[in-house]
This record gives sequence, C-alpha cells and structure tokens, in this order.
Amino acid sequence: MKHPNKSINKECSPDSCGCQNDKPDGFEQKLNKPINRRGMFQQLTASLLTGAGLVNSSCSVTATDDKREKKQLEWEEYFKGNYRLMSDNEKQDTVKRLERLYELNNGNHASISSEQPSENVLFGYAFNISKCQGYMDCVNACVQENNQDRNSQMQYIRIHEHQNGQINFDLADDDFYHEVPAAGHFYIGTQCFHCENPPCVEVCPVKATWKEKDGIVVIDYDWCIGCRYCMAACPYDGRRFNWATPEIPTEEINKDQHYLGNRLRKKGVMEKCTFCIQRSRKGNNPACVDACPTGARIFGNLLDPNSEIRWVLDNKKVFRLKEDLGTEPKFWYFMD
Amino acid sequence: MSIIIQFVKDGIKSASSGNKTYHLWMGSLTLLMILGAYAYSVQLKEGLTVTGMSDNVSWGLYISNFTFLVGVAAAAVMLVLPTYILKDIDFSKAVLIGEGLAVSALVMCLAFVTVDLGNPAKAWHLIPFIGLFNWPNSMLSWDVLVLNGYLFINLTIPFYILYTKYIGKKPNEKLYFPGVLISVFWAIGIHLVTAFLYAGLPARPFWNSALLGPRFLASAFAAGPALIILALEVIRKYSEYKIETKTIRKISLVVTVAAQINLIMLFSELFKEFYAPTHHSSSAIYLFFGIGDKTALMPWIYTSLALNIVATIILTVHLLRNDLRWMNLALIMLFVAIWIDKGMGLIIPGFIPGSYGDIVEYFPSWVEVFVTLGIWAMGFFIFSALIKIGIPIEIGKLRFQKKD
Amino acid sequence: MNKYIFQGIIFITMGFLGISCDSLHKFKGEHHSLAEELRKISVDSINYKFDARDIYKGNSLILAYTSDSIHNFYLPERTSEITSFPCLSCHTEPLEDLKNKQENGKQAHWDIKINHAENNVMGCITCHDQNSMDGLTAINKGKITYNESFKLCLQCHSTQYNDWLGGAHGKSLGGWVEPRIMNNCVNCHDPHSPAFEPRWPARLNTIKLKEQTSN
Repeated sequence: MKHPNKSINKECSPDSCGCQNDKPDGFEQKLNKPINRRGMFQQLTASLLTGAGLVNSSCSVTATDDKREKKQLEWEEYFKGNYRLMSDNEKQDTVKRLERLYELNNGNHASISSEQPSENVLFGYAFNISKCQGYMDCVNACVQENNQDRNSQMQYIRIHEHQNGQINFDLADDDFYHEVPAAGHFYIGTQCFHCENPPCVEVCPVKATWKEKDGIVVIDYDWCIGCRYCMAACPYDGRRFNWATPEIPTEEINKDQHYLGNRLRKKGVMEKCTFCIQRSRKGNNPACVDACPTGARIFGNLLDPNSEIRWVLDNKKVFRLKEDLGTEPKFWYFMD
Repeated sequence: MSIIIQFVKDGIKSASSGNKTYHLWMGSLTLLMILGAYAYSVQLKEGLTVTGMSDNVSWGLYISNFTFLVGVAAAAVMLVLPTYILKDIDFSKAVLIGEGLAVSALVMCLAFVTVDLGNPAKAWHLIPFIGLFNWPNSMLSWDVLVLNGYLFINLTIPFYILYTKYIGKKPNEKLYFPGVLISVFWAIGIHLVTAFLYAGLPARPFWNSALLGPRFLASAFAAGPALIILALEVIRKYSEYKIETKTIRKISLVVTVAAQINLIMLFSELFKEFYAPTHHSSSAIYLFFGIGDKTALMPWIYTSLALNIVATIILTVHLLRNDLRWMNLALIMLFVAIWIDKGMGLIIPGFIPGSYGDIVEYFPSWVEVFVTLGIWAMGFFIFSALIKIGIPIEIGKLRFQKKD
Repeated sequence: MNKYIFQGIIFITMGFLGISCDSLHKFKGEHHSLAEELRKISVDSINYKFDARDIYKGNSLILAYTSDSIHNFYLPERTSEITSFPCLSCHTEPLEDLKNKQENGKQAHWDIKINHAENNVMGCITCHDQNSMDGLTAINKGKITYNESFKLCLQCHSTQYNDWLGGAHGKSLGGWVEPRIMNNCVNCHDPHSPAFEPRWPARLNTIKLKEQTSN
C-alpha cells in the first residue's frame, strides 16, 4: 500500500505537516476574533456547565482561590485547540496554564517547554546489535526521564533476547532476568521508530498525532480521544495507552518537560517515545542513548553529512524491521 | 408545528403503553441498562484498566460488537432494496421494521465506539469543523461520517412516511425515493468502510485482506435479515400487524444465499491461511489451533464454525427451511455464529500474536460484559419503542386527531 | 430506474476517489530509498543553536588531534582521573631497581590483573613507558600521552578505531550537536581488562512476567 517513495521534502512541506502557515485555532482565538465555531461551541456548553460550576464553587465553603483558579484553568484547557495549529502566542499561553496547573497540583514548579524543531534537522537513530548486552539501563533511564506510569510499569523500550542463529521475534524472550549477556544469545531493542510514513498518523481520526518537521512522531495528549486506532495500526508495538491514571512519586517526577514530550499524562490517552523531545530539541541525546553503557545506541541529525548517524548509514550494513510495510522507519540496526 | 408536537406526544404515549408482557420486557431492559450505566461509571472513574484489554489486545468486546452491529444496520438495505426499487409488495411491510432495526443498531454502534474511548470527554474533537477531522485519511473519520449519515437517512425516511400517514396523507414517492436510493448504496458503504478500517492496516496481517470487505457484507446480509425475521416472528405473534409467511420465506431466502456465500469465503480464507502457512498466518494458527498452551479462542471459533455450518445446511435444505421451527432455530444459530465470528473470531485474534510475536490472551471483564449487555438492552429498548410507534400508524390505529 | 442506480454508483465511486487522490502521491515515480533521499537533501555546515560543550557535564575537555578524522573532536581530560598521577612522584628510580627492592614485600599495583591478550604477548611495558612513567609508549617507541591513549589502542584495534572515529563505536557525551565529544577508549574499557563483565540487568518486568505465568 504505502510505497517508500514519499520524499522527505514533500512530507515536511508546510501543508502536509502543518508546521507553518498555522491557521488560528484554539482558545486564544476566541479572545482575538469576535467568534468562531469552537468559541460558539464553548459558549453553548458553557451556559450549560458554568451554572453548575458557579454554584459549586461559590456556595462551597471549602472552595479556596486556588481551587477556583484550578477550575478556571482546567476549563480553558478543555477548550483549547490542537497544538500544531496553535500560534506561538497560544502555545505560550497553554504552556503557562499547564505550568500553573502543575504548581497547583504538585506544589512545586516544573518547566514545560514548547521548543520548536530546528531548521535542517531530521532525527535518526541507529542500534548496534553487536554491542547491546541486555543490561536494560536504557529502559530505566527512559522511564525516569519520560515520567511513565510506575504502576503498570509502562516502558517505551523493549529488549528482545534472541537465540544465536536467527532473528525471529516470535521466539525471542522479552522478559529475561538472568545474568546478561547470556551465552549463545544476542539482544535487539525496539521502540517507536519514528517512521517517515507513519501508519499511526494516517489513521488518527482527530489528527492528535503527527510527524514534526524534525521527524519526531508526537502526540498532543490533550487532543487524543483514546480510540487506540493508532495502536492497532503500528506494526512495531511503538505506542502505549494509559489504561489507568498514571502514578509517579512526586519526588521522582522529571520537572524538565516538553509539551509534546514528558509532561504528565492523564488516563485514557496514548503516549510513546518522542526521542526525548525535551532533550533532543535542545541538542542533547535521548536518555536511552545517554544511559547505554555499551554505546550501542546512536542518535543524530540525518541531514548533517558529518553526523555520526550518517556515518553509520554510509559505512555500515544497516537494515530496518518490517521494511516490506513501506513505513520507512528512521531507526536502523547494524552489526560491527 | 403543533401537529409534530402532537405526533411526538402520541408516539411516546403509544410506546409507553402496552400489556403486562410488554412492560415486563421493557422493565427488564431498563434494569440491564441501569446495570450497564453503573459498570460504565466504574470504567469512567478507573479508566479502561477495568476492562480485559491490554497494550497487546487493545480492542475487545466493545469494538467487536460495534463491527457486528454495523453489519446488522447495513442489512436493513436488504429489505429496502426490493421494496422500493423492485416494487416487491411482500417486503414492504418488513421495511419499517428493518429501518427501525437499523436505527437501533446504529445507536448501539455509536454507543460502543463511545464507551471504547479512553477520553470520552474530548469526543467533541470528532465533530467536523468544531474539532479536527482527519478526513479523508483516517478510515475511522469515514466511519463516523457514514454511520451518522446513515442514521440520519434511516431516521428521516421512516419519520416522513409515518408522519404523512399519521396526518392521513399518502407519502409522496418523489420526495423520499432519492433518499431510499442513497441509503441503499450508503448501507453497502458503511459496512465496506468498517471493513476497510481493519483491512487498511498492514500491521495486522490477519485483517489486511481484500476479502474482508466482501465477507463483512455477506455475513451482515445473513445476520441482519436473520434478526429481522426473528423480530417479525415476535411481532406477528404479539401484535395485530399482519405479516404473511410468504414475506418471511422470501427474506429467509436472502439469508440462505448470504450464508452460503459467507461460508464459501470462509473456506477460501482457511485455504489461504493453512495450505501454505506463512508468518502472516500466525493469528489464524493461534485462533484455530492455539500456540503452545495459549488456546483461549479455540472453543469460540469451533462453536461459531459448527453453528455456521449446521445453520447453513438447515437453510439450504428446502424441506427444513420451509418448516418455520427449523428455520427459526437455524437463524438463531447463524446469528450467534456470526456474532462470535466478528468478535472472538476476527477482532481479538487480529492482535494475537502481537507485533513481536508475544501472546497475551484476552477475556472480557465484568465491566465490559455489563456495559455490553446494557448497550444491547438499550438497542432492544429503542427498537421495541420504535416498533410500538410504527405499527399502530401503519395499521391505521394511530392518526392525528384534532382536539375538541 | 437504472439511471438512478447508475448515479448512485457514480456517487459512491466519487467518494472513494477522495481517498485515492490523496494517496496517489504514494504511488508516483520509481523506488527511492530513504537513505538515498537523505544524501540528496543533506545540508553542509549547519549552524546549530546549541553547543555540545554546554550540554556536556564532566571533566574538562581536551581537543583530540588525529590525522585521519574529518573533524576534530573532544575527549574528557584523563590525567586528573588517575589517582596517583603524576606517576613520577613515586617512580623516581628505574623499574628494574624497584622490582629488585620489593622482592619479598607486597608489590605496588598488586590489584591490577592483566586480562588483555596473552601474557606472553603483552605486559606492563608494552604500553607503559618504562623510561618515563608519566607517558605511554607505542610499538615504534613513539611517545603517547595518557590524554590521547586511544593512539595506543588503535595500533591493534584499527577496526574499532575507525568505527570510533566515524561514530559507530563508543559513546557520545555532549549530545548530537557539534562539536563531537567522545569517550576515550579507557573511559569504557579498563585497559588492563577491556572486556565487559556479565551482570544482572538493571530491572525485571514483574508485571509482564505475571501476565506470562498467569496465562
């Protein structure tokens, strides 16, 4: 169905990507323009709901200013637009609201970034099968960095223990717990591959997930309706769903956050690896690359001919998983 | 305007009055709906973690029922087609029943999709122009459009016909005929779109088959009219609405042909999966034979297969089909067989084994079962009420009467 | 009547054309690989907003000079990491004299076990300069500093060295932006015993394990 001849240029053109030529949308628009469809919808429902809300907050003796402010912020958040259609001002506003809400909920400050993709950057990743020893340090680092639910042990990365002689994921063990590397075995890690032709993006009915200009496939957690169609469409098990409210001990929360990355999620929405967007957009490597003790993980800019990732692609024999599906993952495997 | 208000009032009055059996029936449906609502409130509070679904099997009983019911809704066309286009008088009496069934099935479809959402508060993102609609790329956005469109058509046409009859006029064919024509194609559309929703996913080889769409249609045109016949039998028995055995026989012929085609397609699928099994056959292998000690779906699929074959044989043999008792039995068997086939035989095994061969089995939790029962009860409730309004108007009992 | 049916078919077909038009661009043209595409749209000398030296947290950096690398890159400074550097603060006499003195007592560096190539191939002075203990020695008796110890390793491990220069081996420290900051060989490999030891994985997925056993 999907042939791998979609050019990257085309893919990142403003109209298909929505990164530029932003249409005004979202909550802020209501203040700038007389009225729009969402504004109308908001006012319509507001008349139904504020009645109840006002009675609730004004009559209750326990309702403090904080509570009222929280309600107000949640109200505004509920009606905001899709992140990728927001103007820069709207992005700033929602970030401010989210930071304030975090402060009201957790009592301390977290910074939520809305750092945009840089020019001439397309992220790619390479995984050295010869080097990975199955130590799982990457998984721990990922969970801590990205504020994943501790209760359900949600993880973006899977390490598959294969027996020598074949690459057959059906026979691989994903839950090994013995000294590693085990004799006669090798290890392959998988996570979201940030496909150039992402089937998950194609199927989302509300455009809550998309490919950013720098190639990262992201989710707007506040726009996702939780239908899980993307989960069914992903051939790589790259997506995770919050079946319950995610729980993280307050002292373990990573407060260096990004709107499209590791900010705290709610129940009932999708999430996934974002190449640690809060780190990579600032020039840093994803947490898994940093944590890997064997240097099996390589990350970088595919458009930069001098980058490490490009050296690997040009000089090593690389392959990708399920290439026949035409998804064009930006995640390559190679051996020494 | 006041006539419409009177129409609605009379309708509600007609739907809420009946004998003891009717009240008992509606009462027990209401009880099931309340239980379902309670179960759903638990799910809303705790999240979808209270269901049997997991990251591996991310769609379960809800989406299975949704898929099946789209077929039932589409099958109303089976009756519309001959009645209006071929002017077959025999079917006309069954058409209102069929469209009533389509409406209730569609409401159930939309309910099943809604309860499956993890974040239903944001469901407004799905409304075109207010939210952000990924059309035409996402088959789910197509489905939302065609299902709501089909619901609209199936509400307006019967409403128009009933209303004109209610005020004592004859419905104008030129006015409703184009709508009927569209609904014929639309019905095929809704089921094809729903099939494409799955068939368009190369990630799930079990679904990624060109035969999925046609097979959806064949099975739907067996299960849908089967339910209509069973409904007609009940209506015939409990109301003054006269439905001739000839009508039922004709619809059962439709069921028979559809069931036969469905079976042929099933066997060609089995041939493809098992004659030369590839890596892509692993879902079918799991479904029919189990992998290792993971065999949870085997009882389901063999029950479905056996019911399907026996029912089709009964329907194929004229002697048996013409005996209404045998026919009804066969229809019930066929209905159950196709219901299992769409859920435990299609949606669930599509996820097993997972992307990397991991096998996590699925079994619905009590919350899922109760919510599902509740939605089915709601469907039957709506269907019964619609029939209770439609029949008196059709037989001329309910007419607009000026006050004083 | 047939006219209506025909119109209906056209109507539905148009609907589906909606999708196909959109996906048509997928089928145009010949096959291109993503890698090929990348080569075409590469951009030389990109100005990055961020500097890897600001991201890097650790020891002071030294610029590594190699004859064959396209770009110079940084390594963490090494000598300050070595506990008893400079070596000459103890090694005031030639090695042979020290050895003779300590014949019965406990030897210095007793904890170092060499597990690097065969014993008869490599010994201490294969790498350590016995004439000037503050430095290392190459096979051709050339001098190599501790900070640039990779030049010692590359004498045998040329494949790994080339991979390291390119970026397929070793560990990047400063993020993906320029300049490159790499771990030196000895930052990951103990030069006296360079192989990685087996150990327990950092975590066990208890929930997935439960799923497996209960099913």
